[in-house]
Amino acid sequence: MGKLGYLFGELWRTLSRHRTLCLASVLSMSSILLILLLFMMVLTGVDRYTEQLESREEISIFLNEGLSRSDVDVLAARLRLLPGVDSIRFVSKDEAWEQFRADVGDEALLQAVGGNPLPASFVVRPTTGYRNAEGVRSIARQAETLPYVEDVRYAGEWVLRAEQVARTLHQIGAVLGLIILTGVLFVVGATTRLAIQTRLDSLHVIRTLGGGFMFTEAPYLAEGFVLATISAGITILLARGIHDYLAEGLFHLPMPSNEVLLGFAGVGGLLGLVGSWIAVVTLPRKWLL
Amino acid sequence: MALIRLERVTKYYKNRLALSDVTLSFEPSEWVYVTGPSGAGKSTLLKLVSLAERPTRGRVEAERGMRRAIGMLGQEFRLLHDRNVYENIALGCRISGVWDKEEIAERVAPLLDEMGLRGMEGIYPGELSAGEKQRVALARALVRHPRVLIADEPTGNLDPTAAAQIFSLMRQYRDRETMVLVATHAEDWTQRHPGRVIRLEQGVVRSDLASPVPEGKA
Repeated sequence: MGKLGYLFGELWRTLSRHRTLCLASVLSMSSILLILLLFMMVLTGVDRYTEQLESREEISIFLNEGLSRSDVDVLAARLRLLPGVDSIRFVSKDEAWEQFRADVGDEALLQAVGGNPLPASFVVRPTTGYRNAEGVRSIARQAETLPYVEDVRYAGEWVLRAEQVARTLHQIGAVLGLIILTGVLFVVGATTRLAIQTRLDSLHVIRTLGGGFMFTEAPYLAEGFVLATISAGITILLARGIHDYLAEGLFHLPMPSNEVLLGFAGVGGLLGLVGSWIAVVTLPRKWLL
Repeated sequence: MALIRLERVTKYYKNRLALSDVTLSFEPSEWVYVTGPSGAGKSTLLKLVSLAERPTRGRVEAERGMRRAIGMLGQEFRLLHDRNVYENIALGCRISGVWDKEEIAERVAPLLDEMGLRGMEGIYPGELSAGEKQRVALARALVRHPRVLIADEPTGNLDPTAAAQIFSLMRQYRDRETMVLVATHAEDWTQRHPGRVIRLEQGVVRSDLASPVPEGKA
């Protein structure tokens, strides 16, 4: 049995001897981590919604009435020169009316409107770098200053608001993450401290025999790491369960990607390692004398 | 060349003087007693020789890596109660840096025979007698193949028969080039197993008498 085998043996000894303590620790950590993971799922949903909004980045530029073909061409040329413009599409008065008729479908209502009141327009599609609220707004503002432009419409304001909501949620998430990080460190630290307390006699003996890090600290660090990783694993399973349950109804809470979940478990384990390390290095020296 | 040498060593614990200006030298195969009343500094001397503590003043000289070549035996058996006899002995091996399972088994097996522990490998310390526990503790110290064996009142909790057994087992190891340093109140052992006797009083070496019997004939 090499060092790793010894470490696993010690780990198994501790986990089996302090089953209740370890179980309580895992349940506490899982509960705390679940709050964070659920919040991450909400954030994932918000981010996806924002992305969808950002895909509605087309800008409609309505033209003055009675423009000649050459006026339209001039405007088209100037629009193409604006920074961030990928392509433009001309929608004539007739095309706009046909589209409107198709959308409304109610002939009586169309009769009431009378003639075609809709203006011709250009639909501008931004380049990739401008497909966000700020980009769309900058194109729209420049387009407004061009000649023959009656009005400019875009969904940028909604995108901007959604982005603000997402940013705020990310900030809350960061604060929540810090609180939860502290909570996990505290739980792991307390568990490690209790485990050490119950094995002080053994620790004294091992230190007397000259046992170093591998015998006095490493088993507790491994314990913290494993307990926290197990807790993170359980948290992911619980979150998956909640996701599946909600999916049966109308509410959809998206699971983060597998890479993110793997990172979540890794960070959980790392927190366990750090928590137990803090517990070991801050151990009162008189305990070990 | 001396295994371990103390050069004008003084040790204080806070303001209390435990050892004062002690100069001693220990050779391979020596059988050394440290005697004296309680508080004379016996345990302090043992801690310094075992390199577990550093002196407040003076020097303790030992070969590099000597810390791992020192076996310790105490009055309290200091066995791990959640490990059986075999695991307790094997722990000594691992702490000294031997991790290979087969090598550990090769080291533990002869000690089980020599200490009369064969068949008790799977037993936990709670089921052993005091004498058996001390033999396990001795095996754990010896499994490291120590060049120095330090025993602090090793028979303090044993009946006379078990105590005699422990002394004769330690004696065997002295004959295998291991220097044995025994701290004891019971000075009759110095007559039954003669050796060098260092007498301490109030932290000072009062006498350091060589063995009255030539080495190797004790």
